[in-house]
Amino acid sequence: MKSSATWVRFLTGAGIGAVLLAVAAACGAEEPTPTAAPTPTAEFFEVSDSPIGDVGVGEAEKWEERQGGTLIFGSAKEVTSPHPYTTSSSVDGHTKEATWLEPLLQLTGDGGLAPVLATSWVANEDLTEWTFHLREGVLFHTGQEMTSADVVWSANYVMDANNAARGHGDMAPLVRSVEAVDKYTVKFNMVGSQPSFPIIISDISVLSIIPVGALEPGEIKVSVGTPGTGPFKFDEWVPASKTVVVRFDDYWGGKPYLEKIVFQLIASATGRGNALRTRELQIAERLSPIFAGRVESGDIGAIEVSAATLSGYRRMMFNVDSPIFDDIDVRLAAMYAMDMQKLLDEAFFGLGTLMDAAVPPGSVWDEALRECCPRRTGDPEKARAILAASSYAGERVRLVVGRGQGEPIGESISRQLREVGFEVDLQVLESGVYDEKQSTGDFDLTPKSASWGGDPVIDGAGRWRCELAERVNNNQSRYCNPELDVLIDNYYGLTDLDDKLVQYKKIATILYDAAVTKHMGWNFTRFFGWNDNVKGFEHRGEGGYTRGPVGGGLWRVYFED
Amino acid sequence: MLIRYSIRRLLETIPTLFIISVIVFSLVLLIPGDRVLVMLGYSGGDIADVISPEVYAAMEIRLGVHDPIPVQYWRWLSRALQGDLGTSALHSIPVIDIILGRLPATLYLAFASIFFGALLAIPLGVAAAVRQGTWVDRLANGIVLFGLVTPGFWVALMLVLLFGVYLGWLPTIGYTAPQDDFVQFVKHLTLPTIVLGLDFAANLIRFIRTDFLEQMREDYVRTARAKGLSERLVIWKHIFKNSMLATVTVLGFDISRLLGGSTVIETLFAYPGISFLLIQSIFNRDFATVQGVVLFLAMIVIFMNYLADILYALLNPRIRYE
Repeated sequence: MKSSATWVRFLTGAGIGAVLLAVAAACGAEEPTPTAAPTPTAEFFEVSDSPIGDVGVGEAEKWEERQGGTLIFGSAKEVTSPHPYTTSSSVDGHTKEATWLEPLLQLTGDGGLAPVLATSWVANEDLTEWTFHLREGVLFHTGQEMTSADVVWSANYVMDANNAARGHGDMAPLVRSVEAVDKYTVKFNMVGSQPSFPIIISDISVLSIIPVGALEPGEIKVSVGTPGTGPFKFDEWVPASKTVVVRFDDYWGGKPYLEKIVFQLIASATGRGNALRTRELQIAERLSPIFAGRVESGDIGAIEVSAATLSGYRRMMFNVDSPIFDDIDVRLAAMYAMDMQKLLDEAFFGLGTLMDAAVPPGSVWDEALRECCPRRTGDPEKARAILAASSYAGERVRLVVGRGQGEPIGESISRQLREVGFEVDLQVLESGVYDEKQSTGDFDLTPKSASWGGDPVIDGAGRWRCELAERVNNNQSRYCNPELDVLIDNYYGLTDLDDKLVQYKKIATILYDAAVTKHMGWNFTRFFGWNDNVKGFEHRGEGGYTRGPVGGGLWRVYFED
Repeated sequence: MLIRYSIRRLLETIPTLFIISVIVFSLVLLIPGDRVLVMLGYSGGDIADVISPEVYAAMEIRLGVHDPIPVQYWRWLSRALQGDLGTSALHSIPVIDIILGRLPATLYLAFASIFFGALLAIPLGVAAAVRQGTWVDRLANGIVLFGLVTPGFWVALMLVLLFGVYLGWLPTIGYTAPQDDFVQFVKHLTLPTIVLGLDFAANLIRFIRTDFLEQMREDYVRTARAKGLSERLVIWKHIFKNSMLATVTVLGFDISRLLGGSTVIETLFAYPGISFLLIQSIFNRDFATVQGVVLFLAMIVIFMNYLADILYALLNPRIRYE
């Protein structure tokens, strides 16, 4: 039963809206020093039992008390294919990793690694071999036990270019061969020293383990998910509509509470919010800040919300090859012209945290950054002075933004640039055209978004390394500095966090001095929401809902009366 | 005579279809975006991507993107003629399977909306014409005005708030197949049907009312009345049949529109129809699906127009001889 006030509000709003519509219708540089990789000891990499497995032990007795049932999860994007080795979006990857597919190990969110299907891993002295000890007794959804043969087969499948696996580009250049040492031990023979290999294969889109022969060679037409080892089994996939998984009773970590999860594609954030209110959905992702605000203010009840604070960040990227921004002074002038707090306020309701580089606020990376690279806050006076002394002669800056969330960014940035004397040609484009212009370099300035992957250099290496091609898919700022490439290469040889921080500071300093990118910040525009009778749901802030050592994901979700 | 006319009209659709196929194929080639990347699962770049040149090259060969455009067109057309609309780059399954999987939901929604709209529009349109200037006429005009000036998404949101959020009577998202649960099927269909049906009815009422008023001034109506026929017979037997010509035209266009053009409504209600598929495919640059869906919808439009022409000929025999 709704209160009369609610009714009055609804009817008044509807009435006013109708009248208004009817009326409207009627009226018509520091010197970089390459650092040598330290020689790690085998013990450094040795990891013992899984915290995931431990969680499962204590949960067994609670199982009978907790209600399962069917959970309907409102997704903003779809699982575009149940194929284990194609992942088209973060939502696609999260959904698979939260349910039916598992990697050997997993990033913990603070740069560490936790065991999943491998219980420990060890490298030889020169890091040219990686040996993984597999968890025993892990069953595939077919009932057969996972062994080293499955890992070898899965890895080889990914590394075969003819199979068009997403992880091919990550694994094939690093791995020479894979071999089964015994039933539960796998050895990867590397191409040279590869200390970061475990981090690379912790990404579900690179390598998940499926049974031998689960896919035919070159098979990309898949409409049924291959068996995995996750807490839920693949059940059904309807393209551009839904993905359904059901409980896997023999999951090695313990039986999940939920019997079934339906990942329902609801492209409209309003639709997801309404369906959460009507309880047609029990959990929804990417809810709007307005909806979250109404829940937090108590206007909408019986729902809980939580911001995905690390779900994504944005940066303004210069094209250093463009006639305007090939002058670093013009870039600096634009940097001081852009007040990112203003941008955050104007485009994202002030919801977010400013950042100076792609690192989580308050992290060790953030501390390192503060030591080397002081924030360039908006300073119009300084911007005007630098611009006046630069080569800028009033050319129109092609500010290219994507339709949707790019529009308010474009409006705010173009206004701020004009205020200091830039001429701006704001181009609001459909996503395909927007991407194409970035790939071909047909822009001067553009916003880009990305997400945190656990290591700022490994995350950013692709877009910082020289990429000398006509069509650029990774380093779209086109900034090329061979010294930086050397530093990045050396970073991959580091294993100690302190060494990594020192090296990161050098890399960050070069990028800071080059003034290639100005980071806007982490934007808190994505919210999870769930009904108040849903318990046990945890996320790790980055927008995913992956079951893991840090977050509970969907594996331990249950309903309370 | 009717058979000859039907065959002639059917043959006339072939060049139209050919031109449409060229346009559809060419337009998709002009859409910016790299179909090789899409095929490899890179649809928006919100994950840090490292693209392997070997995988890219292998996929280029598989897709035949380096073949001359006429060769690519002929390959696409010859497969399309055999019912193979290609493979979705995003979903990696045949486009025809995706379309056929969504066709029932789309057809149910389209025909339910037409049924609801016609149920509302025909009596109201006739009554508005027969009782011109009375409250019935004003009511019909009000509905027409509301339907034409009010955006469907706003009506949809209001209905969702009222019947879904506040009253809790009807579901606000999704679809249930009738064979799975008929009651749920009806419930899921209700709100989108009302929204689309209202829009359809607004259009139809206008046409019926205007056409009816014109027919009422015709000589044959006066003759019918003069020979003593009851008003009911005059209206439903004589005027109604002749005023159906405009209705058939509107129906032909609106069925096509409802089958492919209810994108906003399908998105709001997360209704798994063809329109929603089309818009998702455009956003994801799933070129093969866009080509397949547009061609499929174009064929439906042509077929519905063809049907409308045949109905015209049935209703007005003079057309066959012109």
